[in-house]
Amino acid sequence: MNFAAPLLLSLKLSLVTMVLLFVIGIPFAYWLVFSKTRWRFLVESVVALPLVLPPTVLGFYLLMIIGGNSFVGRWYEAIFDKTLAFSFEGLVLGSLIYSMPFAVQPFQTAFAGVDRRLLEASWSLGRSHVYTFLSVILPLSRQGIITGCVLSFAHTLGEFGVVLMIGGNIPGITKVASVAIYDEVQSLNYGSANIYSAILLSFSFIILAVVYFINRRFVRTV
Amino acid sequence: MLNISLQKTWKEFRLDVAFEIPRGKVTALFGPSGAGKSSILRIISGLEMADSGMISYGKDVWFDETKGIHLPPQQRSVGFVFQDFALFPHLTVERNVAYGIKGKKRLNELNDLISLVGLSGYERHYPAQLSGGQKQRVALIRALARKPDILLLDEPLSALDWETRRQLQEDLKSIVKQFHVTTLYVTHDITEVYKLADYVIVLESGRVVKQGTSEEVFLGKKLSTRIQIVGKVIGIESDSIMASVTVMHDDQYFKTLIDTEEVDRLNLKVGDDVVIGAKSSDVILFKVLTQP
Repeated sequence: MNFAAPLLLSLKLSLVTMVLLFVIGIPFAYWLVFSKTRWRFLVESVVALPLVLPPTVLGFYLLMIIGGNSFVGRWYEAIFDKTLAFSFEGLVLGSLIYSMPFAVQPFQTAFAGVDRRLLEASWSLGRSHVYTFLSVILPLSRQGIITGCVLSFAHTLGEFGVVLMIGGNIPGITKVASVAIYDEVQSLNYGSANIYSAILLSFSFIILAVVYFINRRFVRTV
Repeated sequence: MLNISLQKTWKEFRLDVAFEIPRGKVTALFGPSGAGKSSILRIISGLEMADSGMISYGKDVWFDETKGIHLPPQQRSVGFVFQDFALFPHLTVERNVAYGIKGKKRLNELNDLISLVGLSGYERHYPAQLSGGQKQRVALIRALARKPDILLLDEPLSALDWETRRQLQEDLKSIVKQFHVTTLYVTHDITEVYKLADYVIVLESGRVVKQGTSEEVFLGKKLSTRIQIVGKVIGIESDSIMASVTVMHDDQYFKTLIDTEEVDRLNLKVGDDVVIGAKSSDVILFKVLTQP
């Protein structure tokens, strides 16, 4: 088996998840901040669930929902001619949900932190909500957006329980680095496990160091 | 003419006003804090909605509760100048001023606008690099750049120090005049009312209690005097017959003698806003001779 494959797969999964969470998370966070519905707290609670749930619980329900016997699973299989569970796409879906709070919450905090009077100034200068979002809220939230993207990337990289539950351990398809470590330890290959672990550890540390460095720089300049 | 009639109830406060703002003039909305002045501006601009009433400018109806009309701020031709400037911190002076301008052609006027408020050379500065007075000039010209029908100023000078405020009062007056814009100016500073406003509306606890020119409103009659000095009482000394009241205005002191009974009648205290009036026939002018 190719030694680098699980690492590359982890990176690919993290990257895809991060990009999708950026695309989905930005409008979602905007809605959470500016929606006037009183049921918002329920949606927020659902988004935050992965923070407190054991990943196995999340993985279990996801498997129930996308598994071969479920409605979604059969529907997916009918259209794409393959199963959603135990596939890379399934992993992406799981990661999206699992890492969602790590992207959405920083986005949300950043949007909510933009001085409301700036938005009012923009509206009273004749600019639409969309224009205001793109020209005022987004640029003033860049710190939170970078944090959200990096954290969702790093969190997906460290994903284990959900992946194992809905992806299994298929080399090249669903066997990501964290699963590979588990696998190597099970086979008593402590050397390989150590290498994977060291790489993940250094990588995670570097990512977090970059986030904290960027945050500190923003604090200084603004 | 901007016609306003609006009612809105908050938990412990009710706003119920109706007044007209003459076209092309500066109208001051004067009153203590908590009187509802800023809320009126926010409702006129569309940032807040009244419970009932109507707001119209000429033939354009901006708000009519009975017909369900409530134009968003974007569709009302207003320029809003906020108390704390509300400049976009990530944009340069130039881009702040250009923010509301639509169309490339109009962007050519940008330099003229910036020089009009004396900020040529500061085009590429960020708000954080400007003084309070400069920030408020940017805010003013940003609001005027899209040529609004109505200019709304929410205590625009209150965040500034005294000296800057005095300078800006003069500039504000001339700039607003150049744009011929109908202006509603919220303030609790009587000096600003005298200096800037053609017309005053006095607000107390959510209601209009008086309106008219400054003299009509504050002195109860039209003054026949021509000389008026508006200022603050900074000292009262009295003997048995006369009191001497010292008033500060534009960094200068004026002393006037009045009956001690007047001091009691007017309930004058140090810190009060007052007007010293004099008949023009009583004024003697001297030419100041410069030293050779």
